[in-house]
Amino acid sequence: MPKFPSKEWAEKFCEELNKSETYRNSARGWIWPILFKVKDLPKELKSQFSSGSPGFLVDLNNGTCRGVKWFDDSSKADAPFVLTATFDDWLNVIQGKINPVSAIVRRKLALEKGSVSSIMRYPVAALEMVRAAQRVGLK
Amino acid sequence: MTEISIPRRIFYDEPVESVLQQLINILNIKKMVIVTDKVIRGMDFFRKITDAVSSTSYQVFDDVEPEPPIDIGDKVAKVIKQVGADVVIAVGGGSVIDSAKAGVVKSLRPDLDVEDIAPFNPIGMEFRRPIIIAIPTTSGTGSDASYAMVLTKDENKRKIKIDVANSELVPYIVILDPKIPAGMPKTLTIGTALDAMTHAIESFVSTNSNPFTDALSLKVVEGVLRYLPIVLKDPSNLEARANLHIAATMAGMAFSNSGLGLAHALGHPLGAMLGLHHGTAVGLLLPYVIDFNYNDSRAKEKYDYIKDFLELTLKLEKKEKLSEHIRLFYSKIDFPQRLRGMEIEKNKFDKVKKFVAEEALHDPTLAFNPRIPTPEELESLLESIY
Repeated sequence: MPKFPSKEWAEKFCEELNKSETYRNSARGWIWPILFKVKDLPKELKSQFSSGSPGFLVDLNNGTCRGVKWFDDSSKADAPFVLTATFDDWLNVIQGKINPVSAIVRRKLALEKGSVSSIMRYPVAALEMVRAAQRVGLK
Repeated sequence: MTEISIPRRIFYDEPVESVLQQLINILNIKKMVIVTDKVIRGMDFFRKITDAVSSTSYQVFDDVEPEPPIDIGDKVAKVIKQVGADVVIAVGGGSVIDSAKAGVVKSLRPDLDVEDIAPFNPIGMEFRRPIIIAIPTTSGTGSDASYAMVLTKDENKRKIKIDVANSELVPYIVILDPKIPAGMPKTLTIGTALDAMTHAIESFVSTNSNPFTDALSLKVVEGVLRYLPIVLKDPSNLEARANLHIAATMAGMAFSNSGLGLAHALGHPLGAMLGLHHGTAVGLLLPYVIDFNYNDSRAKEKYDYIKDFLELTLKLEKKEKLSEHIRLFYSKIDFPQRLRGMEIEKNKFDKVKKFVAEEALHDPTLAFNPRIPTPEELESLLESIY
């Protein structure tokens, strides 16, 4: 099981999305890559990422994941939708402790760029992304 | 940061004309625009409102139509600027109140594309005039208390809903006068009350609910079950009307801060495709949605909480599930529990069923439903409502 966050984790996440028929059907119409940024890393990860904020871009298009890009320093990356959260809050979302859309509305996941209204039109896809992340697992 | 947004002041126990006269003095209002539609402009209560504000310089904008287009904001803003208004009074339902919101936004931020309004980006309306005074004319939409604004635009020959939200869009003042909705016909009284009840129940079980909205929601459900039968028996009972009117605004305060659910996600396209009143559509769906969500343990716990609360406060006979109380209530008020009871032909319904299910899966209100359905589950749920 790849550790979170890492390039391997992001690639596995992309694979899981592509395996999901639910995601394929529910994300039809979503054509924007999403950049996921992770901040406030725990001590053991801080030493690995000098930027303190790694991230990965997931290239999503009409129900498929076309690939991922990893960034040791996510401040150097950009995408039409940018979601930032602390390491702990990402864990809470991935573990299903908080609904991803609620997390955005409550600003646990900060939508730095992109429209909340657009995200809210894809609630099934958002939850399936969480399920895909759960299938990848957390180390 | 987690917050809730509600109107600054709500007046609920005085005639609207009296409240307005006092507000003109308290807030030193000199110039205002009244936003409404042509039907409401012809009503008696509207004349009382204009009489009450006659000491100010005011202009009436009555060009609001149902599902207002996105450029309504520019039109209202033009009048606001002409008048130099301190206050915009919205007299009407959701379309009128949302048009007033759009007008104030465009008057203060002509550079801002309404579609770009986002929940967390400041608009620049706070501490600035004109402020919005909402006077709802029905008891259901809750838009007088909400920070949402729904407009439409034409895209590829289809009418697309532009649904935006920002805490600065909450009306500053709400005036609830039960004499205004007292003229509603029976079907509209039922439809709007069931809309308010559905707002409250969906808000309560929403995955985004919070202690503030939970408290409001419980009181709304109790209020609708207690007072709607009284109003239906005696439409002139103003005390019962006032309680329904208050419940609708409280439901607006609740759902706009917590979210809705599957009854609304299905009700939006179902109502549009079959020409059903919004409240009728969501009310019809509500018990079926409760049964569907009951498999989710958290939702079950919350539905049971409402059930126990109603059994205690209304002294109802104990039932297994909340949906049983809702169905009994529908029988009591003669509200059909299936589409076939609403003179909808089966073949017409069959033609739209798949489309309704597909649309519901992309409806923003589904985002906070406790259980996310598959397309097949939605079609099966829809089949059961006929």
